[in-house]
Amino acid sequence: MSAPEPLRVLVMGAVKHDYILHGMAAHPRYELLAVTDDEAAPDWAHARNAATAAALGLSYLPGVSAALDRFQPQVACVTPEVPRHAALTVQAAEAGLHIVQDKPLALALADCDRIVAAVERAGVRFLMWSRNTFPTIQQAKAVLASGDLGEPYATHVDFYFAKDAGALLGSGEPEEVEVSWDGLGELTLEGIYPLAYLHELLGVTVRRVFARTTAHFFQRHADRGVEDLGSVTLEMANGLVGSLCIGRIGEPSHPNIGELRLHILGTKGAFVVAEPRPEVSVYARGLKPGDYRQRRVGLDYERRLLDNFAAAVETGADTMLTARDSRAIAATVLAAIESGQTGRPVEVSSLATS
Amino acid sequence: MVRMALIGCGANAAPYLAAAQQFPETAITAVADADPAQADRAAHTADAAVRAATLDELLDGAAETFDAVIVTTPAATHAVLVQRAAQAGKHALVESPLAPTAAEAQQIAAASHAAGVRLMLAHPARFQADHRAVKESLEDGELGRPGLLRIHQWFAATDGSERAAHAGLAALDLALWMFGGLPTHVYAVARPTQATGLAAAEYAQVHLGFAGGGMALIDLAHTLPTGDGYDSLTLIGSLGAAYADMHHNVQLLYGGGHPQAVRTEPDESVFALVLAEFAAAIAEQREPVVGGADGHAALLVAAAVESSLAAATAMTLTEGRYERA
Repeated sequence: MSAPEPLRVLVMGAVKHDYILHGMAAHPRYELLAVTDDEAAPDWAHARNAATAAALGLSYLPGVSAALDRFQPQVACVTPEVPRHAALTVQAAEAGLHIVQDKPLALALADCDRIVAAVERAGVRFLMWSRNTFPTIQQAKAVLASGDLGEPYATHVDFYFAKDAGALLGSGEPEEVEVSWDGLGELTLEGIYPLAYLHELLGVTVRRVFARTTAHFFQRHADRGVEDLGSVTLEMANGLVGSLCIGRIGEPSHPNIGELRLHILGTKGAFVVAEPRPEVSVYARGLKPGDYRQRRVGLDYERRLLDNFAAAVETGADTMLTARDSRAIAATVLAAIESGQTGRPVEVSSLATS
Repeated sequence: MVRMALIGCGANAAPYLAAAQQFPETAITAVADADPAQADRAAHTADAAVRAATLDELLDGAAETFDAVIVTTPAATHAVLVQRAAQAGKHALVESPLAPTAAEAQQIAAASHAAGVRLMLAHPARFQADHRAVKESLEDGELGRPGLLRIHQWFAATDGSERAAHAGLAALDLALWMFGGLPTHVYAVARPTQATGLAAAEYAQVHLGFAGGGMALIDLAHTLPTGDGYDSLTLIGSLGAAYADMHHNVQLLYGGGHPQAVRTEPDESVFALVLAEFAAAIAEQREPVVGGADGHAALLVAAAVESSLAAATAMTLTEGRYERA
């Protein structure tokens, strides 16, 4: 039996993260064709698209319609800056392309709904990028499925990533903001990862949230009025409760990528998971601040995510994180931000979509 | 040497009896318990010459044999006992909770203050080596401004809800200690959902917001299998973070089957440290590190937790009182 033909992928916007592109480039089931983008994208985005395309040995062709006509792709890989996610993903869905999209789904629920409608109307597969295929997350899923914990009733995720973001709050240091920074808070940008864990493990949606949020670390977040630290109480379907603590806590605050933890309580037991395992610790003269001392090993999560997407395209099954799933997560994030601003719990379903 | 009378010689007294033997600056010289057998056992353990059925008996007949009392009786008795001791000029070390209600705790604190005696609340959690290290790191400025405190405390189902409730109050105290004041916001959820307080819940989660943007999330469970337990405290500050997590402090024991995670415990006794602080506060004529005001504050927040659970909404601090947000 011959191997299936690779899925032909058009990259739509390559200005933010390159992990999806590198994952696809290394995966035998995918063939990257070219990079394209909206002709009206900012100049810096065109320049970055061109550079990314060159690094991957691809051509850059501004103008999505022209690129679709020329390359006849099956899949769109959508990775522009966040505010342009919705426009490009809807365009891809309407062109009948299956879609792998960078997180988050979109900024406004109305845009999330446009994406969900376009994807479902077109009957295409959609995969939101996530960390759900990390070994520890799949191990937690297996432990839950084994019944060793009994019925899960509470879950907690700590998602502290030890990265800096310019000048410290109140330091008075000059601020050099990366041009691709969207001015968004960390719940918006990163919250989807831990919330996607809960979706993967428990398959439930969040009903109600209470949150505290603040700009605690970096001047740019305070200047934009967005959070770089947050904590969220989650009340989910079926009486499940949980919490999420999230923050861009700065490089000095952890020797690794950050403290990433998952706690699951069940009626018969509990599971405490350090997400970045397996890992190896390396300490050496010459390591600089910011170099990770503890390094993940044996990591193949990108391939597994892309395996899931390819299988979904072939079989018509849902991916492990669909547009509708991602919309529910986006609604939870928006509810948390509202709760953080008002000091009151917020029903996720109460959020207006416009 | 601080001479102490142990008031209440039941199970709660055991750690103090053991600690007093480890810490030479204190001695338990008298004991009181309504159960003569319990009093006898405690007196024997402590080598105390004086025993009685009540504090009043001790004060009437042997007041000169002790300088302070350790009160380990149920919370409902604390107000009478501590105020009686204060009137007699005796300092008091009191088991948590200080009183059943915040209002009574305030009265106890006021009575001790008026009598000019020291009132210390026994919150061993503040004296745990890992918690002290986090607090010292914060006070030394290493961590910058505290931003987020995360506490997990899980017990075995067989430990009972009282232990979890006690731990809950201690965890609230830790949060107030780290942030240096009362939270402006309190929100809580629990299982079963009809649980109205920490003692009634098999699981409770408390979310606190502090002035200046600080926040704390505390979860308490007593559903683990017999013999199991887990605790973790993380403090994220503006300049650094401290992780006091049991997950970091376990060894692997291979004895067949799945390897067991075995905790390495610190050498020191937290109750000996509690006694040492109490004795030092008396000797130096200063307030102890955890006093009546702290006991009152933790109970005030615990009451807000109960209100949040009952009303299923957040409580906010307004002029020293918690009201629905």
